[in-house]
Amino acid sequence: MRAPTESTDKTDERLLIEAAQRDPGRFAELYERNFDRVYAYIAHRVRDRDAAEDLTAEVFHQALVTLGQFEWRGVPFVAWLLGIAAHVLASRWRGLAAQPKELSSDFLENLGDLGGKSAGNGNGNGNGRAPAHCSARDLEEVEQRATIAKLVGALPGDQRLVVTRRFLEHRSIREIAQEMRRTEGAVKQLQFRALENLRARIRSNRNV
Amino acid sequence: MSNTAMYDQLDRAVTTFLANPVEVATYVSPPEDAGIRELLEIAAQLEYVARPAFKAHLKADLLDQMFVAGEAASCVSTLPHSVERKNGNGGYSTAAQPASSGRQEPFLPSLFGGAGMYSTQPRNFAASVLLHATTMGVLIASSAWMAQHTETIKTRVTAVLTDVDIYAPKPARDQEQKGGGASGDHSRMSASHGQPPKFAYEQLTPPAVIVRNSEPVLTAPPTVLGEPSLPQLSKLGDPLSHVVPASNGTGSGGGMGSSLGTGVGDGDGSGVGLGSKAGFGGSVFRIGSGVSAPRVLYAPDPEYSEEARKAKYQGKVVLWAIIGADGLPKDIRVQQPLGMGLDQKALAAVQQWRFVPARKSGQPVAVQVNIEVYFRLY
Repeated sequence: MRAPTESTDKTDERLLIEAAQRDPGRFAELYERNFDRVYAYIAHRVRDRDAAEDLTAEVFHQALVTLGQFEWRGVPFVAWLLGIAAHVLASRWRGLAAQPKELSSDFLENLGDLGGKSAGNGNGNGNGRAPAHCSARDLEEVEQRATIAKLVGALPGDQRLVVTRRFLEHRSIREIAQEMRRTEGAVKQLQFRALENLRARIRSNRNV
Repeated sequence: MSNTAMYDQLDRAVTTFLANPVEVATYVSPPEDAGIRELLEIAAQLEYVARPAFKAHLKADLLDQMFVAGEAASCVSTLPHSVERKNGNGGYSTAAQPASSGRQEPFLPSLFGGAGMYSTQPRNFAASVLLHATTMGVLIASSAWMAQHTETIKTRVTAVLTDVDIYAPKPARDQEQKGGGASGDHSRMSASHGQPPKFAYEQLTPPAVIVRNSEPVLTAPPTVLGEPSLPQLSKLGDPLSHVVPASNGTGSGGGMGSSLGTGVGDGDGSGVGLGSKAGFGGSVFRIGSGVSAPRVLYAPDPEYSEEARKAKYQGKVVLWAIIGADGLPKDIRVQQPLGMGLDQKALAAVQQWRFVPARKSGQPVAVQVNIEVYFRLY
């Protein structure tokens, strides 16, 4: 049954939020649950990994600071986080707009986000509602993109290492082979197997 | 296509894609490479996956922030912020807003616990406050008393009766020392005050403060018979003499003293003191080897000289004295001066001291002691 699961998840999340509001040390659990979603949301909008990391860090720092303002209204906590993320992105693009020489492709693609669609104020969205552009579909897309992070984490050790080094850190096959003390051919095979494994798991996830 | 060829083809596509991640379809066009294309599409989605190192680093960063997040949250909530509002002309104007949510934030929320960081015990908190207040009160009161009583200056005297073993040599070559040395050069004055020369197992040249032969054929340092480990001090003479001008003494035979012999003192040997053999001897003993130390019965504090008090001068005076068999101090001399009139004050005080005499085999005897007198300002 799906509904009770959703209800249970919401209850769990609400308890986690309240616990984190009482004890900031509990924020780590919220962080673990929502990090991949926030990162996926931001990474989809900025094509630069370094920028995505900076913005993600900014979102969670702001979230921690303003957690006390959050009021539970039945909307997933990730929606509140994405509201902060949207505001952080908007601030970034406004900054880029002020410096035309630094316009990047992600700025041009997201021109529509300027001018007020971003949610909340400088301290994030304090009312617990989803931002205007963060629809249920957006949340679903974010969830799908975040899923691949979980699937990567579930890969066998060697495959996970190759995926991390090759695709997340952009290392060459030679460097990875030296680190793993294997031949380049073996590393290419691991790369192939890892992607096949991910494809199979994604298909399996969709069928569930 | 062999597996190796597939791996290589995929890797070429991945390399090109990573160098310019624009469009996956650009890299894989032939239909037989549909499998490769699918894998490359999977690879393209990996841009949404964060580096594990970054995730861990950010978490650590947030953990540091979490410890102050409770107070930081309350601080942020009290910050005023501006809100854009439509004005009557269709534009926007900003207005400052007071602190945000209307909830009253507690003052120092973590002080009484409940901010999520730790729980506090009210009883322990009260006890801690009381203890700190008491300590502060004591510190303040003592500081105030000290400030009011700055003119109270006390002297502290420490009498240290030391064994004069370094001056009393060990028996030379297993001989039981019975001290004694003497002589002189028929001078009109007794031997002058000073310290005995170096002790040695042999004596080639007797000690003399006035050297009669200014051009000796063969020179040798003056010595007295005794244990060579004893230190030699600067001015030759009889440590028990009161005579200041240089004099070898009224005795004869070389040496310094009033009798026969080649030593120093009023004995007739080649050592130092009243005896007749090597080493340090006479009726004045040293503490130890069966001789007990004298005990202080009465020791009035010395006065501070005005000069030293004004200069806030302090330090230690070392006196040398003989504590007689009657418990009275005799022949008190300054061994290590301090100056500013404090040496005389120490002498004057110690002269009034009274002792229970030292004993040897149950009988009271005279002993030589060092007395340290400390002058301290409080």
